[in-house]
Amino acid sequence: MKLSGVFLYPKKENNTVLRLSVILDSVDNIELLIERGVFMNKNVLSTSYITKVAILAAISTLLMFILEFPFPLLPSFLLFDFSEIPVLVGAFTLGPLSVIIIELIKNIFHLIFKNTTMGIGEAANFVVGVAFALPAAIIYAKNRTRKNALVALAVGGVVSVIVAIVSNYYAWIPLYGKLLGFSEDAIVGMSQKDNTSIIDMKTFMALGIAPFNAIKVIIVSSITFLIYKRLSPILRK
Amino acid sequence: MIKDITLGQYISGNSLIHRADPRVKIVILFILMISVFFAKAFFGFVSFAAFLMIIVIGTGLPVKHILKGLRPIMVFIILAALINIFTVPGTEIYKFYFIRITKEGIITAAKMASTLSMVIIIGSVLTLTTTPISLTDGIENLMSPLKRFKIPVHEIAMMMSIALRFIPTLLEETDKIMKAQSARGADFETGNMVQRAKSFIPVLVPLFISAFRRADQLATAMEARCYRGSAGRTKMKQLKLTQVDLILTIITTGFMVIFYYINN
Repeated sequence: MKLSGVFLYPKKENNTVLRLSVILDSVDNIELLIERGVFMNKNVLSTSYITKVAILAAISTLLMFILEFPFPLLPSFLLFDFSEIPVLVGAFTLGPLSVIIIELIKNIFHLIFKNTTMGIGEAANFVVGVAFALPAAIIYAKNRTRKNALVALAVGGVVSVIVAIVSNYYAWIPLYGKLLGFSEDAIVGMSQKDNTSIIDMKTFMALGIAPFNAIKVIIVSSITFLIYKRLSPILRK
Repeated sequence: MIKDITLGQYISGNSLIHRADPRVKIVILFILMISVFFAKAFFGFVSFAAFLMIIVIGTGLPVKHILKGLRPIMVFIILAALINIFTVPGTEIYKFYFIRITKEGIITAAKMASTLSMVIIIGSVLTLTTTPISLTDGIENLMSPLKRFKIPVHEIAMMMSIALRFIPTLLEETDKIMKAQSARGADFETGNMVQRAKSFIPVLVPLFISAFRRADQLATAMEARCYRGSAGRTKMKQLKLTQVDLILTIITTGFMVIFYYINN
């Protein structure tokens, strides 16, 4: 296992090729190095991809922590934040995989540091967020034009509102009842405080979940659309 | 301008729970969190609460700190409990015109409130006694079987560590940018929803640009130090199971057996 003086010079132009200048004790060590993957970069994700996604996840978490607020007339436990903006910027610049990773990291942090719903709220945010940004990323990747960005955001928005309604109706609300004891009556009752026309689960979907997600999608997409144009020359470098 | 956010309320200490391996802690506390939901009878709850008390005292931290975690959702719990008291049907105890309180209602409310609070307390114990970095380390280690399914576990854990490291930096940066833009006449406090959202744009653009510049510099720095993913990577702080972990596992297993018999 003795290695004396191994110098690795990462090449600037192509980081998957490592130029090696190795002073080895014996020939065995070369096999050892190959075994350890020094010669081949088995890395699926490049270093700059890792750092970019990480920083976007950091911004996303940050935006979620500094600002969470409910909309007027909508149930006050539905909290809006700007954390989808970095996810969409990632979707446009770094592709579909980054969407899943950023959402995942953001929600893990929320679960660890701000756990108030046993992970159900985080799971809901993850699913709805991915439903928004993933279609957008896939559509935009095919044709990177301004018009297509609008199409991507619109499709993503529609998909996410549908996913939000369906998943809330069949999964998250029943789970709240099962795990936390928030029965449907309790959820409807809490929403009535903010909007008296909410009387049952269907009206809760129509007047709570649907408008909340629609407004969220509109705000987030319009901000992303406005900032992305100014950002793209720098981000695509 | 921005209120301080505390990411991970870690408080250093030297208790058994502090010294335990993060993996063991995560697994044990996760099992406890799930088993709260299986508490049925009154004694089930009492025994669980007693065990939790022992853990809380065992951390050696002021109880006040641990209860602090409950504060943000207290309103939530109280509201939901009240609604449960008034809406759950059953034998009436008290009736005043349309308001009626049932025995079942009170029981459901009490169960819900205590389950929720205990879950939150368990979560606080984990975050108060474990540094965010060792939490990420633990998560990476526990998730490593997923590598077989080609999920980039190491890379995701690396991103989590980087994100954790940069959240305070970026927070400071956001604050600086907001101050700089207000000095130029930007207004974040007034106006309706649309205006406020719009006022956010001059903050976001520089924030993203500087963040991406940082990401580039970081990538260069990492590559200059020969970062090449998980293959052959070593760690400065190795996770090692010690006697402490054995003791904690034995105690928890013991409690789980007792808890099982109390519930059945």
